[in-house]
Amino acid sequence: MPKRRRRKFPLYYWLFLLPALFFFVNVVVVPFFMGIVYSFSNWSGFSFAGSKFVGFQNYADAFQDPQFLSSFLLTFQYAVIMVVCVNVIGFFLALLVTQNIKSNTALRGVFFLPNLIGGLILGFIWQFIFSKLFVQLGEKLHMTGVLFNWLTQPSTAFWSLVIVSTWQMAGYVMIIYIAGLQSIPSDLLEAAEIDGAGPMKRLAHITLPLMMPSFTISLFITLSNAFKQYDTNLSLTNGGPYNTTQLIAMNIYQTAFNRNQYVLAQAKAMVFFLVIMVITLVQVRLTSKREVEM
Amino acid sequence: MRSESSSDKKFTPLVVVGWLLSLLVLFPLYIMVVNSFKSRQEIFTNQLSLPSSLSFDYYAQAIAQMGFLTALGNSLLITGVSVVLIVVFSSMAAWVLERRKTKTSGFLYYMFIATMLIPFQAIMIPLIQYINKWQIPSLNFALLNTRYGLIFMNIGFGMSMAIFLFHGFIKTVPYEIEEAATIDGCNKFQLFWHIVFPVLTPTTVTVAILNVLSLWNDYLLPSLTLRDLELRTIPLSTFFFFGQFNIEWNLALAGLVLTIIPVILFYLFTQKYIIKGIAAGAIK
Amino acid sequence: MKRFLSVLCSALVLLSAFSGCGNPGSASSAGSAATSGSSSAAAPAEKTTITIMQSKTEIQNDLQKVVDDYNSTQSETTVKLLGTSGDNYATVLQSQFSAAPEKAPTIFTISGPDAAKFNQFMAQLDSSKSAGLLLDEFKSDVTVDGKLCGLPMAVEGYGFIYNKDLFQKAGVDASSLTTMDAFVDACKKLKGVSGVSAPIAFSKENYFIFMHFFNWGFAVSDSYKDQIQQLDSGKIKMGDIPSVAQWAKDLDAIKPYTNQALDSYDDQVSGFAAGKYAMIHQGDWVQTMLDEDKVSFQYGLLPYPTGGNTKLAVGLANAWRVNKNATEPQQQAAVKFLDWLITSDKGQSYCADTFKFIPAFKGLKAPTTELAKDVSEYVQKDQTVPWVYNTDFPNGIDVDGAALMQKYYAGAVTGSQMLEQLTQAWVRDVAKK
Repeated sequence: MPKRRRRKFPLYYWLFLLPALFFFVNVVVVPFFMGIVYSFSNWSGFSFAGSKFVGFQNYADAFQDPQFLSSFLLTFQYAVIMVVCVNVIGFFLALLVTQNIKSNTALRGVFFLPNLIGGLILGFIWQFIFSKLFVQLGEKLHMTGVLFNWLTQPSTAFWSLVIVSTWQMAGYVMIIYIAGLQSIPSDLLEAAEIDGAGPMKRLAHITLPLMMPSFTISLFITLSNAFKQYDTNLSLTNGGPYNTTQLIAMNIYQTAFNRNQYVLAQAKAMVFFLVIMVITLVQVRLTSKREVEM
Repeated sequence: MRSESSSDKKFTPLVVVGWLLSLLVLFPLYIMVVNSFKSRQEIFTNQLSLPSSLSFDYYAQAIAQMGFLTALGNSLLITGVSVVLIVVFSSMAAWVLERRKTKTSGFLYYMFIATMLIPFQAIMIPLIQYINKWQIPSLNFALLNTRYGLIFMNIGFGMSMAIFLFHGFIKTVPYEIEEAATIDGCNKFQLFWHIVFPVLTPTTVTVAILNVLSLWNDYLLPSLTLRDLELRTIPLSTFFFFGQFNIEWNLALAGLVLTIIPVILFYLFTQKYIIKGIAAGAIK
Repeated sequence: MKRFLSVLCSALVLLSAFSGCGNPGSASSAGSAATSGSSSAAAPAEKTTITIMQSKTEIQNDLQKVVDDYNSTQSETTVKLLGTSGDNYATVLQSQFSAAPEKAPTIFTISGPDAAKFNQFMAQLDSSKSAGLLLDEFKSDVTVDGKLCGLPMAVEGYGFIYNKDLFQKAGVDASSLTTMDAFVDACKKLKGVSGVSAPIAFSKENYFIFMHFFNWGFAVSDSYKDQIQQLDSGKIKMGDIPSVAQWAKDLDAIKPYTNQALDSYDDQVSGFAAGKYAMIHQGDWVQTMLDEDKVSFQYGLLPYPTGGNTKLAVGLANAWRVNKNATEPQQQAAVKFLDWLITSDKGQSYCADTFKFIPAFKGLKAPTTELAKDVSEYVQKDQTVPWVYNTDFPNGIDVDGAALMQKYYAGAVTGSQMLEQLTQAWVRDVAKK
């Protein structure tokens, strides 16, 4: 690594950073700190004026909410499964469409499509598949033990959620992996091929190590998206059957806007934020260390 | 696609695997498209079959009710400007954060990425309260209920992930190129825009695609900030089909098909471009 | 690369041109002509501008025409219709009031459990012309601390919508279904009719599976207000309230004849239209869907005879509110507009014929669609029970109750166990206030 030791923070450093920081601070950081302040008060969801500070009361309440704790655990389970499924499939798809094979561009476009469907429409399509198509197929194939309305049982409803979100997210990380694969210099791979390394060897010794930045990024994005999952949860299962598939974001949203307990929702969000921040930053650190500097 | 399938592309079993996999992707989309042609009754009696008649009535109706052209204009403007500025500002920031490894850089970098984990719902009311303070009535300037105000917020929310992506890929750019250019007398701005930024093209395209994707479909933030009818974006204008009790599925599906076509075109265009760009880079 | 940079440059040029115009609200840059009809740009100084935001997406287009009409027939006020949003309307409204109440819409609509948090922003409307015509049974719904705080948009009623053809085939006389025994007996007969997969269908959305249906348990009792108060304070349990205990017993009796509440709302109504279900628990709001489905048979609305009940559950669909924080002239202009919309001949015909609103006011025009006619009839005969959940249920009970109903239909709990758990959820939700 070359030495870069000049003035510590020259003018250009701040000039380059300033626009990004300006927007970021005003849109994300300030409201976030307002949210932290609110979480220690009895704010009613409207103007903050007139609210009183109540110390850690809201945090104490959050930990006494059984639904919060079970949503918390479920979200972790969901996030772990999602990280594995989405990245394995996404990476495989990226490898597939960067091969020099026929119709690879078309396939790229196709795998990318599910990202474009969000919200209620997604729920509509997949509810139909799980609640009708599965039932019809089950009756026809005499396999009603496997093919029934998956949304009516807690465990299958959970897996439905995993399947649909994987279907949606795999194409998303595929795009990141494609960028990673394309920035691997082709002469390296060609040189290895000339040296007699087979496709598997090339994958293990050249592609994978050079892809570490992409893995860092994709793992983080999947993890944070899984933790924040709301749309698919709402449109597919709406937390049901009987609140068994309620992920944390939905629990927070419902606390705030269905039950009008804004400060409790703020406190829940802060607790959750702290926990996942620790986890994901550890993940970023760990994977970053394994990156190869060129 | 034709022009892509040049003669050196092989047809291997992998192609078959690819198309089999794509069936899994396309099947739900098939449901979406065929049902956008059906009447309510047909949708709920038989979702799988092809529509009994291929009429574009629901599309025409959706276009009219949504005020599609106005909404398309707003969406294009808001998404386009936001994405360009996100790319410009985040790439600059990521570059200095990566190339000047100091405690401050490390802190700023982790601050950027840590905030990606904040659930939007937890800050949305404070956000609107704060953004509302950004106004100068005498100049008719306000960030709420204006297109540039939404762009302002989009940039703020887009920074984290874009910086994260650029940061990750700048690491893989050999530092020697930059040193050579500095010796040649480039100043930092020239260095970044003429030397570094072009090398980052695959990342730039990726950042652009991912942002186009999320901004184009964004509903929650625009719904909170754009009140006037003439400012509506495409996702906002589809509200017509989602009533309190009654969802007009055929129109909603038609509206969605119309919504995603521009993004597909954008994606295919950038994919073509990226392939050409890489070929050009290799020759250099 | 050059091409990409040139795209970038042109986008930046576009941006600078755009940020120069700096005129919030005016649609100057992006070719807009289609939607905005209210040409408010050059209003004379003395003209008052008021804004409306409302949650019924299905009337938005027609309401724009009504507003345009109003704007063209008088010169004191400019009414501007703001965009609505279906799903998160209450959240959007809340964000606007939390940021700057004086800039929030002059007229807004809100009702049901969401309404209470906006009470602090509602102007008193007792002196409006419409208030004098308001029917007594709907006053309590829009009254806060003795002050009238809203003007009902429309009345809606629900019960069991039944397929007259199927009833005839099964040999059931709808008017005889005044006891649960007769009702269950009818279900038995209907089950035998070919094509009927379930005599009764519920849909699985929180309000449909739980709130509307559970409402009967309280609504048919004369002293539900007291009973709910005692329930809130933990003195009694659900099972101690005779009408609620009866409701659970009656649910046990009809459960075998239901679709287990597994259908979505759309599927439920379509199933009814296709003759799969003989009755659906729904209200007159399904009219548009049944019209779209072009149903071939006659249908009508029946009360649920739990505990011998013969009345329909009727309540306010929504209510117009005036923003207390708007300027005095704006508030006056808003009341004037609402009075015009509700009581003038032109306004009445818009409400009844265009929006199909059943009026909550004396002597006003009513719509003539099939289900609306049935509801109006029950209203005129004073054969109605209230929507108790709008005023007396704790926040969050819709979610908890729906979850329990799912458990009940899945066979995980019995009717009385459900009441037990419902009591716990109720007390918990009350305590959270």
